[in-house]
Amino acid sequence: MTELPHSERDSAVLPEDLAGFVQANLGWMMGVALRILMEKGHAEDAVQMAFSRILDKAGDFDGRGSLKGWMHRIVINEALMLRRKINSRRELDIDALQPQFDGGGCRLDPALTDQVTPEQLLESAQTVQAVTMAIRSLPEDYRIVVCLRDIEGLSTREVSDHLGLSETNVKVRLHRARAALRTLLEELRLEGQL
Amino acid sequence: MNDKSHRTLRKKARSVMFRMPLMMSCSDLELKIDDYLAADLSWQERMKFELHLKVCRECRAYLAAYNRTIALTGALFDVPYEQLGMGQVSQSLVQEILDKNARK
Repeated sequence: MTELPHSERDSAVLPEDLAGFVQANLGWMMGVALRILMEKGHAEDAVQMAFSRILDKAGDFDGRGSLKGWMHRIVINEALMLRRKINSRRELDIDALQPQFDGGGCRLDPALTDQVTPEQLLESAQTVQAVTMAIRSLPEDYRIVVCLRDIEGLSTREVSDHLGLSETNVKVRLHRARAALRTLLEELRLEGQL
Repeated sequence: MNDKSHRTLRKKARSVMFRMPLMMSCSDLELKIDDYLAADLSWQERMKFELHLKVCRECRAYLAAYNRTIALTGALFDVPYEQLGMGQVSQSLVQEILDKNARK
């Protein structure tokens, strides 16, 4: 992470500073955009727009929060704006992935335990791919909520504002998405892929 | 007693137990998981939730897997772009960004 390539508000951007700034931030910004948009080409478009926005609005950064946090919100905004223009895709049935209960309200899921930490698991490229694919297979309305809330770390209120949903609706979608992901990931674990 | 009849008996016992005062069913617990994890339950609800966990191994296992799912998903935030299966960040993209913004 480098400083914004403006020494002061409204000052000119020096080309060498800009190159370093772009190089230093491009990777993580592409990661954010890719998680939201899921296609490299779309992610590149969003990141280009985000850089333009960041440089246009550099004078608006008041220094109260972290620069990366401010840029993170801009990338998310740009990726979400682009997402609204992109068509839908094949999705799983989220209902089929919800937990099952018998007539007395008792859980029917098999008992499972875990032994390694998520960080250890994600050291494997295969696991990163498996988790990424599981998230991608969720219906878009659910995937985007889990992405913004659990990966990008936005609050329920922020997700609600970005997506134009009530906070209750965000919570319901988040819970159903997490429950569906749990089913998908536990299946992968039982198959030895995690 | 064989495995099947043992499971049936256990299931019936749980079903009766979960209808007792201060107990909640597994399906009720499911609805409160996120509030529990966010520490948004009242102390009475939290007590009921934890009491259920003490007697229900299925829900203990479920909650562990649910937590693990949230942690696994959240851990993606720190995975570098290059490991997301899309190759390297293209250098031509860097140049495009520079060209587009150089004169700002």
